[in-house]
Amino acid sequence: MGMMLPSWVIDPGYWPPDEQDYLANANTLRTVLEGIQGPVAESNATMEQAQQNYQGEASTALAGTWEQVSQTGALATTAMNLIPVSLDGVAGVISGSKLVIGSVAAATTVLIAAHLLNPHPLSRAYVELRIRAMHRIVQQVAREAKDGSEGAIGRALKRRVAEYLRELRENLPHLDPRPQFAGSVPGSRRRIETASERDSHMTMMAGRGWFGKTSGNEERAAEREIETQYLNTNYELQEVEELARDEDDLAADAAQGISGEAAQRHWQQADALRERAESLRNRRGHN
Amino acid sequence: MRPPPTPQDDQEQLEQILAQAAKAMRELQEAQTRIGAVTGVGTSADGLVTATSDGHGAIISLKLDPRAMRLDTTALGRHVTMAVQEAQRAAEQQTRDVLSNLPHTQAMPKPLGASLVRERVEEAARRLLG
Repeated sequence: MGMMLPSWVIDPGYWPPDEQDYLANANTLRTVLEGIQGPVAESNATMEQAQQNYQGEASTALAGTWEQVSQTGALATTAMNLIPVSLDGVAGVISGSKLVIGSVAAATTVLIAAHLLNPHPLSRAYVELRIRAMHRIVQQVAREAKDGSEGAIGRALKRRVAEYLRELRENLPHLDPRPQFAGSVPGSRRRIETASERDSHMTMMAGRGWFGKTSGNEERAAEREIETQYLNTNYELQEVEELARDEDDLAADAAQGISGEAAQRHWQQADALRERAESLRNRRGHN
Repeated sequence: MRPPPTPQDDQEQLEQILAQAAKAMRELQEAQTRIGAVTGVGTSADGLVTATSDGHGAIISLKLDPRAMRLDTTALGRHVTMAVQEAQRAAEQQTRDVLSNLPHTQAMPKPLGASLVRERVEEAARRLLG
């Protein structure tokens, strides 16, 4: 069982999930992949032995085919190895989010308790302000983690797996079809797709920008551009959030100095900055 | 490159923060008891009115010297206001003294920000992209 947050901080039915589930899935997958390595190594050893014992045209052809099969297997394994890495990453994001939410909840609880002891007339207003701020931060962290896991990590995983799968598809063994199965078995030279299937395939590829008619360089440039936009939006978002926090502090100071009007003004500015941060997050989501 | 913190590291860090918060809350409970015992006394300039306030600023007693009854209402009001304000100020000062001496509360770490989550996301994406 991973870290548990109290229900008054965040609704347990909503978020976050258990990071230990992700770690357990990653470890299971690693065990499976390790389990596959043994038989693969044994098969390679058997084939090597066979090539040493048998000479001639058939043996050479077999060696060539086996080489292709081994390369295909290696690509598939590399693609599979990325999944536990991504699961570890998501587990880190979840546990990091819980750490942030937990630290905010702990600090806010102590701060509230201290302010409730304070005889200042605006202490209760300040406490309410802090509780509101805590809920906003919790929502923001949950949103960051969800967007990041589904967005940046998901995209990176898709991109890398797609990269290996594309290489795999391009390097699939092209065996000459035997006459009775020509054109109908996997590995035959050509596969005819129906128009609608091809269209839908092309739409998907164009939409994702991975396999479309663009060149590899153009794809990489486009991906770099998307990465840059994502990072730039992140930096801008960070600045806006820091400004919002500053406004919160100013509002709190103003509240302490019995200037309700100034506190209200800073609080409104903090709200406006948070709206701007929200719009940046939306923009980043579209990237 | 330093390996990223594991969920176990995060859990340990959160446990440390919560342990610190528990110490601070115990300290605040003790402070609450001390504040409960605070009384501030205020007297008007000529000692005719004496007011007592608790640690939260509430007036718990008001004593009038019989001689105060000879004063007219405006003067009596001024004397009462003066004594009450002085009592509240004295109580508030004592409360502030209690609240300013809370080492565990002052040692509470600042809350972490959403930037940590973004860093984790970026780190995970970087590891995937190799």
